[in-house]
Amino acid sequence: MSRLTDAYLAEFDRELGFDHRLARRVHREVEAHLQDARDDAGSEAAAIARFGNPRLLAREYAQAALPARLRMAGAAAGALALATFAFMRLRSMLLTLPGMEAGPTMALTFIDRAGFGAGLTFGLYAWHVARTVSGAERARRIFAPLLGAAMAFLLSTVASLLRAQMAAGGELLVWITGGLELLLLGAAAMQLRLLHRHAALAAGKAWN
Amino acid sequence: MNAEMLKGHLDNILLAVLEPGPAHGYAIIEAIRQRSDGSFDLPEGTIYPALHRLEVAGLLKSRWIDPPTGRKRRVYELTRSGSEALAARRTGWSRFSGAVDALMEGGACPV
Repeated sequence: MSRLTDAYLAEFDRELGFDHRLARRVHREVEAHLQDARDDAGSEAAAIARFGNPRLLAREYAQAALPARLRMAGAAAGALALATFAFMRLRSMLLTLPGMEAGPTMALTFIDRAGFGAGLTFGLYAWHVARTVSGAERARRIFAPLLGAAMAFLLSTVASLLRAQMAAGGELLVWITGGLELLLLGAAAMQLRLLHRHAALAAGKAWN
Repeated sequence: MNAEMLKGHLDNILLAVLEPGPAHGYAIIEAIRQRSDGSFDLPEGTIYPALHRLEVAGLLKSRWIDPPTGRKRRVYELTRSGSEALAARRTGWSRFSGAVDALMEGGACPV
């Protein structure tokens, strides 16, 4: 490949850099096309001109791939909700945790439960948006409730872990479930970040 | 032909072009150009995101082929859902284009 084609392909790589799999696919496909087109168009520059503006095309690719990105973000949020609930119940069953009656842990118990409830509410609202709104608007409107759900689950998880830690000390169960929950939170946060960048490109502008 | 006007029908065109069998992107573009007698001449890159969108929707599937002679290319083909969608869209299009034709031919409004 010549420097001209390399520079052209690098623009696609840059625009789609947040999604390496999509970027690699686009790179290979555009490269194969330009090899075919070069012979018919007469020159590499003509083939590139006929192909189109890389920024606009990257935006169209991002729009095409947005449903898959939304599914992944939704799946991450769903897995997080399930894990938060399951581990919370597991700790309650296997450890003797103080409830609302115990003074110092009362606030933590409240935050744990309220955070989980808020997370579920945000998650259900995100699900409603996913069912009723379409296109790039869906990604824009679903981001805030998904972020809200992740924050609420984070709050609930931290409160739940502190509560368990205070009651059971260095129990292995607390460390394992806590580690897994934080890992899932990290994965959900990464999916949300990717969704934000993906949707911004698909919409052709930055949004908050 | 106005590119924006054509874009609205691109999905149907791609499904129809792929009906005879699998093809790679460049061959699809050539087929569109030839079968439309040069009337449909989109920026070539526009075809690929549309193919990707149809694949995400489950109407197409794709795979890389590496022939012993020739270049490595991604080849697209209709899925069963794609064939069914094409049949349904054809029916809808016939009705729509027939109605527009009837209106475009003109005639007096009923008083």
